[in-house]
Parts: sequence; structure tokens; C-alpha cells
Amino acid sequence: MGSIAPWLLALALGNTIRAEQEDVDVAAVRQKYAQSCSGGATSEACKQMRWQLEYALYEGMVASMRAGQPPPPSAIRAGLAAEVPELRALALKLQPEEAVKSGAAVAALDSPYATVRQEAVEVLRSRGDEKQRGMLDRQPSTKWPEFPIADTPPDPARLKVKVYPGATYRYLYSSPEQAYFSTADAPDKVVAFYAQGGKKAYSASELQQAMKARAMGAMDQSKMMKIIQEAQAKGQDPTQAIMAWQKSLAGLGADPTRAFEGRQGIVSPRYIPADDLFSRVVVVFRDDLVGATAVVVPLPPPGADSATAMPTGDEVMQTVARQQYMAQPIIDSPPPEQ
Amino acid sequence: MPHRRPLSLSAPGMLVLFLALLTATSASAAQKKKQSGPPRCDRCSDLTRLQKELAEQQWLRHHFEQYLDWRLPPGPKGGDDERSTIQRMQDFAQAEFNAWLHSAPGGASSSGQAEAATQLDTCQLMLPVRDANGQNKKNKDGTLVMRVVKPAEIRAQYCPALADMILTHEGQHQTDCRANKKQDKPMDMTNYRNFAAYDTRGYSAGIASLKKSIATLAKKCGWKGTTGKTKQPIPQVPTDQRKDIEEDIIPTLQELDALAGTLTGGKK
Repeated sequence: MGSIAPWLLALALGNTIRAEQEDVDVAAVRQKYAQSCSGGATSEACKQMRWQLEYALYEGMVASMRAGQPPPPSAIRAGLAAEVPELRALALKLQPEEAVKSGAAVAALDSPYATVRQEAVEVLRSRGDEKQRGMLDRQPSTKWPEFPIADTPPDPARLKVKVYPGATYRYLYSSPEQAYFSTADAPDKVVAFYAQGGKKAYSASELQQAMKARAMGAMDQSKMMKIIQEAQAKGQDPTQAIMAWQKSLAGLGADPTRAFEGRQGIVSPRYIPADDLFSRVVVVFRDDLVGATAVVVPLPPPGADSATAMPTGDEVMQTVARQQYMAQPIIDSPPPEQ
Repeated sequence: MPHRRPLSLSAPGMLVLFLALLTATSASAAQKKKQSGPPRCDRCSDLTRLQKELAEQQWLRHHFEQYLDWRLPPGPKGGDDERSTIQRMQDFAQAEFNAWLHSAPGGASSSGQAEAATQLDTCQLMLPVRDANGQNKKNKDGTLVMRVVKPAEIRAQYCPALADMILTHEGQHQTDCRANKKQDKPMDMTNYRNFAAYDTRGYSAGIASLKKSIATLAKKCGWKGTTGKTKQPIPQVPTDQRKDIEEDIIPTLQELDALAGTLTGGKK
């Protein structure tokens, strides 16, 4: 084999994936879209055609600007309502006054694309009214991707608590560490929903006291002995059982009230632990900045549940080696041929 | 005897014929490319396309980065799925990338696949062998069928900014591959997290190169979101013989208006 095909190999490869742009016949797509997708048809084919046309409009607007001709108002209006994030962000940038006046800038704050939200933030920060500017102060400090990728609300497995019926996930106020939902219902009604099944809704001081009492209980040596004995009786590894118990106590070390107490616009926050270990505390409050009732759910790091209880020595070594490898300098031009 | 029998590795005669055909196809394609020269991407109108390319490479880096700490490669698709964990990770990345390309931010008008590679045993630069439809050929275990190439072949196929991006990406792989070989305890590249780190560094290098190319062209075009007339590169280079006609056709205001009208259902 080696003698007849030295260049035909099928071994481990590190490769460059890239996209090949396909030609779009804009006139034909436009005609087909107008014929078959009128009235906002939502079929997959119509969506694809819409995105192709929106992207063509985006490229056309950029080319038009480069040639010194400002895009027509109709293009800006289509852009402000676009699904293609590049077009929507460009329209926000080109006509900030129109975006604020028409409500498009505020609507864009709820775009799943951070690139669109950040453009809307810029527009409202410079041209929005006091209330609109206030809404921006609720944003957590998070680094978002600089390319258009749709964020998604956390799935139920990661959220681990039910979403309040009818509540809306708010991308702008959420982050990898917390999910922020808003609803027009009164805070008391929302608190009652999360306190179902005998759970208690705490004030900040009540919560801190309850957590302290729980932590004291956890220090009890007899509790640890009991866990070891129970694991042995079940034929389980006592070390793993102790580690799982310690992991469950991790929530006791953090103060869930810190991010909410005394913060601007947060009225009467109530803390509802989702479990008796305080590992996850749902916070409900009236948010005067956003103008709604807020439900904030803390999130574990992605993949936390799939992590093994204890990394092996080899895994630790691999992780250290990988971190050192990632820290090495990177080239920015093709190396000389060798 | 069926006319279209699948090629078997145990039929060396047929394989040689197959290889000869492939070589001929590649050579003819390369010749065609050579005649017309590599495509251009040094015009101001190419900036939008290069920016899209950048976003695509950033998406790919972001995807592989996730395997460094939390994402798991998908499991085998069944008992006869012979792909390695790394191959399943790569296939999944490509499938997810294509799904993204066919969503709103991708403009629903492109599809992606591997363009070049570095062989981890020899650190050699390689190109995928493609079928008549331009799709990468795969072996039974899902790995790509590849052949060794020189950078010049990549330079003949892609415009300079993209050739630089690909060669820098693969250059990082080659640099890392050679360095890893010199280690007393080389990194285990069958570990998918290590492989994801290796791929992430490749994308980072390619992105760095592409950003440089974009910055150079943008500067030449006076591109700062200006609405000034910049059909010719600014400042104009005395030796530059290009004319406006070489630029892409710029849509008229009426055309943009009509396109916007289609999207808004005629409401203006």
C-alpha cells in the first residue's frame, strides 16, 4: 500500500475548516420570496430565503456606503427589523435616532445576538431617555463573543428549577453565571410559585442566619461518620460519598444576597433556596430599572454535572500540560517553509 | 459483475486506477486555477467577505474552545460507528458550523468543510481529496482522504489573505507538532481535550493572520465607516492601474429600496 499511494493518508489530522460562499441569485430569490412567503410565512424555506435576502441587503448597504451613497430609509427600516444580526446591528448604527424613536433600539436589547444587543446599548446610552439608560445598568459584567452567535436560554437540566409560567428570558441581564427572567406578575405571586411544596422565602438577614445554622450542622463530625458508615453498608466508596457531600455543601460558602442587597432598582428581594443545602437560591424582586418582576436563577458552570467526582493523577497532569501549552505564543503569519 | 462496485483496498489494480484518475483530476483543476491565477481579495469591496470569513473562523475557535473545559464529544452513532472520539468531535463541529451557516448570521448561503490539514505523525501540510462535487472524500472510519502538498499549491488556489490565514493556521499546527515531538513526554493527541487545545491554537493563529490582512486592506480603503467616496483605494498608489470597473457592482439605491420593500412586504 505504502508504495502505491504515499500521499493518500488517513491519519490523525488537525485541520482548517472554512466555508465556501455559495452564489445567491438575489433577483430570483427575491421573486420567489415575494410569491411564496408573503404575509410572513414561517416555513424553513421562507426563513432561508429571508436570511439570504437580508444578507444581500446588508452587503448592498455596505457597498452603497462605500460608494458614498447613504442607504435609503426603506433599507434602514428593513434592517431594524431584520433577523440577520449583521444587518440589524448596521441599521442601528446608521440611524440611531430612528431606532430610538421607533422602539427598535429597545426591542434589540432582547435579541439573542450579543453583537446586536451591544449596538442597541450604545444607541440607548447616547440617545435614550433616562429610563432607557437606567435599564442598561442591570447588565452583568460579561465578555460576549465579537461574532454573531445566538445565545440560548439555559436548558431545564442546567436551570434545575421551573421557569415561572409566562416569564421571559432576558438575554441582556443574563450571563453564564445567572439566568434572568422577567414577568409582569407581582413579586408576591412569583414568590408563592417558587415557595410551593413548603419551601421558605427568606429576606437577606433570614437567609444568612439559616445558612449559618446549616453550616454549623455540617461541621458535626458525627455526620461525616454517618455518611461513611452508610456508604460502607451500601458497598459504596466512602471517599466518593464524602466528596459528594462536601460538594453539596459548596453553596454554604457563598453569600447569594451580595449581588442584590442595596443595589439600585432592586426592591425587596426574596430568596428561595431550591434545596435544603442552599446550593441554589432563586431570587425574586421588583426591578425598578427594568420595570418588571425579576426572577434570577444562579447557574453552575456548563458541564458541571458531567464532571467526574475526582480527577485522576493523569488527568491533573494532562490539564496542567494543556494549560502550559495554551499559554505559549501564537504565530500571526505563515512560517517559512521547512 | 456490477458496473459500479465500491472500490476495495484489496483490489490494488483498481486502486491504482482510482489514484491515477484522482491525480489527473487534481492536476487538471490545478492547471485551470493556474491559468486564471488565484482569486483576488485585495479590493475594498472584499472587506465584507473577509469580515464574514473572520466571524466564521471565530465561531469555529469558540466551538473547539468549549471542549477544553466542559463540552463532551458526541458518542458513537451505533455499533458500526468506527470513528474515533476526535473524529466524532470534528464531524460534530462541522455539522454545527453548517447549521450556523444556514441560520441568520451565516446569511444561509454557504457550507463548510476542511480545507487543509496537518498530519500529526509527520507534521506535513496536506489537502483533502475531493469528489466531483467538491466534497471531501472520507475513509470508512470517517477520516479524510488527504494528500501532501506544498504551500504554493494553497497560494495558487486561494486569494492571498485566505491563503495566509490557512497557512498560518496550519503553520501553527506544524510548529506545535514539531515542538511536541521534541518533548520528553509529548502531549497525548488522542485525548480530545488536548486535540481541542491544538485546534483552538490553530484557529487563533489563522484569525490573527486574517485580522492583519483585514486591517491592512481597511487602512488602504480609508474604511472607518466613512460615507466618503472610496471606490479607489485611498491613498491611491501611483503604480496601481486598477480602475473602478474592477470593483464589484454597487447596487443602486433603487435596487436596495426594492430589496428592502420585498423584506417588509412592500411597506415603506
